[in-house]
Amino acid sequence: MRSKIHHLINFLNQYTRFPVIEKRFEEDHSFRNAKAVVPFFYYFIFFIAVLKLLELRHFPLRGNFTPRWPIFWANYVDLQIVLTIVLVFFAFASLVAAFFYYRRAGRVIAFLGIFQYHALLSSFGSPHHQMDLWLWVAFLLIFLPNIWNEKNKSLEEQKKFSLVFWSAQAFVLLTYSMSGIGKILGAITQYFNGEVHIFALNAAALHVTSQLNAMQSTTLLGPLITKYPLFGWFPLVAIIYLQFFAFLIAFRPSLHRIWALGLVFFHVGTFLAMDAEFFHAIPLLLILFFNSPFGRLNPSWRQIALDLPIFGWIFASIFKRSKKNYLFEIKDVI
Amino acid sequence: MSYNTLKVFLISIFLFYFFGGVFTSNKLNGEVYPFYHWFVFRDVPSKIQAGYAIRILEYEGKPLNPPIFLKNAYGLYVNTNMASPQYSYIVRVLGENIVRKQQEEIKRHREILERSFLSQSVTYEVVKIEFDTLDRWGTEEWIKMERIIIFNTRDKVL
Repeated sequence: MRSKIHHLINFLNQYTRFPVIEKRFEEDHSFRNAKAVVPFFYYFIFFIAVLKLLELRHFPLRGNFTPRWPIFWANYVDLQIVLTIVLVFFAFASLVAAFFYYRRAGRVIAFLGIFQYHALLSSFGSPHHQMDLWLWVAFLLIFLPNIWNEKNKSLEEQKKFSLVFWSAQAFVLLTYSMSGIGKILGAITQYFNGEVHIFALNAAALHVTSQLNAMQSTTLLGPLITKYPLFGWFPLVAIIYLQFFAFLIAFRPSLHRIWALGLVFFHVGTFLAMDAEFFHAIPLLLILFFNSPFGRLNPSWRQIALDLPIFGWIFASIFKRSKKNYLFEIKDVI
Repeated sequence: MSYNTLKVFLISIFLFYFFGGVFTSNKLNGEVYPFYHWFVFRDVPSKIQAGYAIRILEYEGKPLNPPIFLKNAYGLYVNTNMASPQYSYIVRVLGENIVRKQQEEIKRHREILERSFLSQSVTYEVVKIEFDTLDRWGTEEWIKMERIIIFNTRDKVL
């Protein structure tokens, strides 16, 4: 049984290339970059919290108020008081973390503030997921080791710091992969049911018009996609590729920046096409990936090409080299 | 906590979230808080779809001929504080519960609908409509319409 687990771990290590990313955890500049980026997560959370204080004037009530379990105490308090407490606490907690990001207690308080606000948003009947990623990243960052002071830094603590930061990146990408997996499963089900599936040429047009019918709105790209369905088909296939393989990209630092850029385009594009807004994810992609501690600012295009899912495998076999050997031969351009 | 222990802990969180999310996809509303499956826009909508809508039959005692779809009655009968996606959600859930004869859910969602959108005294019907997805957008065309219930906002919610 142990040897089977050992084989499984070896297979996963080889397939995901986790040892490659773990080598980056040992690098001093990865740790320093991660350390530099973390405060910006809390600065931006505070900015969001301050903007949410505007909702004290008018909170968008979307249905019956049924408190989720994290705000169980709201069952005993008037709704207006609940809103005031949650919004003010959210702002206060995120300000504490913005100032004391280097203290675990500060990060815990920030998480509690986000958790209360997130639970409030989700307590009006229909689910509300705009803040999901921020909530879980705030939870993961609690586990950053206390080595902001360089004197406390050992290699193991440095690796732990990079690992936690990386786990925040990986979690965000995991959610995109879950979305991609759902789409692929949906395509398989619909194909075998004889229904229109996501790889059909008019799939994008159907998605767009169905959404716009439900939203009772129009968009910049909606009419174009409806009239010329192929115009939406190519981006849709690209979105499925970006989402499905997103979690794998966590293990391929050369692709962190480009993949995040693609996901930003995805969010902006779905708004311009379908009026489906999920902009809260964009700052998180910028903060965690645009200056990924584990990537290089100018990775070689060959490295990027070989790291691409599917295409990388094709390129590797065309050039008749194993990807594993190639990764340890190439020198990144700094 | 050692590095390897931390690694196992974090991977466990991922697995927990992934399987928790997949598990929730079978639940009503697709959610067991705070897990989520992220299976958004999973299925491509069919070309011919069925849905529910509200039509206003009478406003302050005066019959409307023809009846007006509620979503076309902004500024006249609608409390504009609620966003349209919430309206679509509430109407859909109300219609589904009427078909399933879930009286408690009908009462609950009717209360939300009337409190949020129907601030005036109106008689309205919930209709089930069939439409071509691509044709309906921008044209309001429908293929088939069937009334499933009539309500009056003056009546006490049963």
